[in-house]
Amino acid sequence: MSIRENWGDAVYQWPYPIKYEETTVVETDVLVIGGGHAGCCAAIAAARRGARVAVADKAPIRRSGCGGAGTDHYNNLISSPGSPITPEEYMDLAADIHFQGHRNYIAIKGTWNALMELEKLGLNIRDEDGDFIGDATEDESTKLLKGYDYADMIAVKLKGGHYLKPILYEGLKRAGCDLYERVMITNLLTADGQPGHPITGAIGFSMKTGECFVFHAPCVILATGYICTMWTYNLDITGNSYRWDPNEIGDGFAMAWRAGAKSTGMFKNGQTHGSHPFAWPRFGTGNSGNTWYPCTIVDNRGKEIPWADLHGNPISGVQARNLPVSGQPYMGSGFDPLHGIETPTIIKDLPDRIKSGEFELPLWADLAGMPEEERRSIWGVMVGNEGKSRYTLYDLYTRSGFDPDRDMLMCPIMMPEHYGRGGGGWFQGEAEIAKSWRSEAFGYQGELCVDWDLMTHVPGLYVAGAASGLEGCSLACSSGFYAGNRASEFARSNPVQQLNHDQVIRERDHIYAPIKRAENPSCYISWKELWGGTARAMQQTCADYKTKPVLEQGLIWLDSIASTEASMTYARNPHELARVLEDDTRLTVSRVFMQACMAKIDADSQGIDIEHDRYMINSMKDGRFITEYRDPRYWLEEPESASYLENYERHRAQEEKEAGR
Amino acid sequence: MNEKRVFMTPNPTGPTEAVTIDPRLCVGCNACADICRTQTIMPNPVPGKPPLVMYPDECWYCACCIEACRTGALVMHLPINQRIFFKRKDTGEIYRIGGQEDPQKSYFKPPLGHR
Repeated sequence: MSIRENWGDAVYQWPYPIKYEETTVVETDVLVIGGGHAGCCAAIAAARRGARVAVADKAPIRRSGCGGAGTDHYNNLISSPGSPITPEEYMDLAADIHFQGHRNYIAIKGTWNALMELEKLGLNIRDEDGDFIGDATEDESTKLLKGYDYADMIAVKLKGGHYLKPILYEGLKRAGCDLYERVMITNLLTADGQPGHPITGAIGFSMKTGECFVFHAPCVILATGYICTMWTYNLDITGNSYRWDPNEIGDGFAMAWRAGAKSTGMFKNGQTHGSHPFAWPRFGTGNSGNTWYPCTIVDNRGKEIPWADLHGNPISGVQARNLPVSGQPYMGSGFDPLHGIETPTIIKDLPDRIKSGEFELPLWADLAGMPEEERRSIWGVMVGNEGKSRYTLYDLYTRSGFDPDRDMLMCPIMMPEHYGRGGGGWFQGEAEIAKSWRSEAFGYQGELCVDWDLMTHVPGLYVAGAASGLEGCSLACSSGFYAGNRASEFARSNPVQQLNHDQVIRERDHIYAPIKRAENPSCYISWKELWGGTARAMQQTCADYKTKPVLEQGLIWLDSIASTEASMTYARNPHELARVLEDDTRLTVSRVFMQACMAKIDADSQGIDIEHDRYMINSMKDGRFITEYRDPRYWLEEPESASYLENYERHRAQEEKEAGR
Repeated sequence: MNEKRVFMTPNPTGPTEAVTIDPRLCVGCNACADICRTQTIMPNPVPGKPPLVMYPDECWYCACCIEACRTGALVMHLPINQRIFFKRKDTGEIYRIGGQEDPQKSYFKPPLGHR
């Protein structure tokens, strides 16, 4: 029924029994928070190693998470037999890239094995129906469909990608994991209730009944996705253009930070280059990148936009767009951070040539003019399996008469200079409309610090997937399997410590405060208004122009909101309660962003180059924001080995031994 | 018309109606509400009645509800600011997604891998 039919004469009762006063205590070995790709893989891995595993998710796990509605590509297959380089060679090429190298190595090292695991779980990854026999995209011996680079296998198009989450969900159940769906975890619990002490579990509540859940476990794996929505208040604009799952706020980062975990790179924020909430439906406009790669783009008069290789040399014909040029080991997916690993794109001087009148806006993606097998690949495989396009584009567009065999799709109309952004070829709407945002640098956009076990500085607290900066299906699954294995090993040798009763009471009181306040007439602030208020503070004081006085003003602003309006919020039911408590996450994480930016200004003034030469590691101790510096590649220093492979094998030795390998 | 009672209600949300549920087709099974990641769709407190599209402003448009519905009772609506143009290559005719003048549906193939 539509709310439009409610002409004011109906008030709907909450449809579930309310149990705010009840608490359920769950004893388990491993608690996984977030049941997306990373969380499911982590849970399955831990359960297979004999651990009791509980998975808590704010949403129904069958379709939860960023990739819950489907997936088109499986990228980063540097570990595949068809990759032209090894993961070790990749790390050599990436030596000057500023990210947690061990974490990225762990993830790319396991992508191929993770894909094989997903196939065993039931995912259709091969062209068994023979739709692409003899086409350049298909690998003849494996029947895998190569993405982007047809000469190598560094990405695979998933013909069954739409069904990945339901398959993982069935896998969880078969592995015997206990599922706690629509349970929002609000905070971690630690020994003696002290930050930095070993994990004793986590606390949260049901978004259906409101009852409290206390998980008692020696080990927690955070698989909570990205930090989102700090700068942007977007609900009334619509979530369709928004790439990340609306449940991704940064809850995992916030609770880990409060529990004493350390972070790095949180100063990285700036203008968005595409995925902003004021844009078009993702993949829903004419494009030549990502899901739409390598679609031909024509101008408004039908004149084709030329393509060029990474050196700027013109290339002709559609087939050349999927082949590396001499001098590059492979051509990547367009998102690779390595220098020299780039796909061809439409010409980078397009902005000037639009301004000169050579090309006329709007541009159109010429799907109808593509070779038949590429059209089937873009529309049939990619748009047809990617989560945010399967129904809203594939079904709704064709219902509107859009016919990929006959039609061209319009590209967003933007300032000419913005057609050269993001490497060219990826358009999602006028970027100037949405200003500050999170940096989207590959794997170093600001995240929790982890060790070679993917464990944070809090003993027993692990991270996997986008919560650890590893974005995308392949890195999420790979890091999930790895973290699940390490956590299960930790749980065996580290018995859980007692819950701290005072901490549980304190957190419980905190959770239900907005419900109690709902009866107080002076507590009139909705979760939406508070979100808008903190976003305003971020837009103004943590924007492109950053100075210490401005950032200090920002901290005063957030503190003032925290002590005033944030204690005036109300929740009338468990749904509103979840949204109010997400505002807590925003206040915590926004503060870290601002303080990290101030610490960067300090580092700059001391001549410390934290974007190339040193790592800035931040944490909170006794209420103070702490900054420390680490050497580049500190993860290859004593007591660790200087070799990526040796460290990896050492940390996986127990798993290999038990597998009889 | 004059006999209809008039009420005051809070304003409608940004995307007015993310999903419409046809009460003639809905069997009240709540499969759509159960799969919705944001509780946009909530069960009707009266068992057996069609669920309520309670929080359309929180919809992500993932359309898992559409997939979950066994009777085809749900229709998703792209918000107006999300409806782009397409051009028929051979005739140059221009249409807008969701437009009144759009051509008849002519593409019926399911996505590859669909089951």
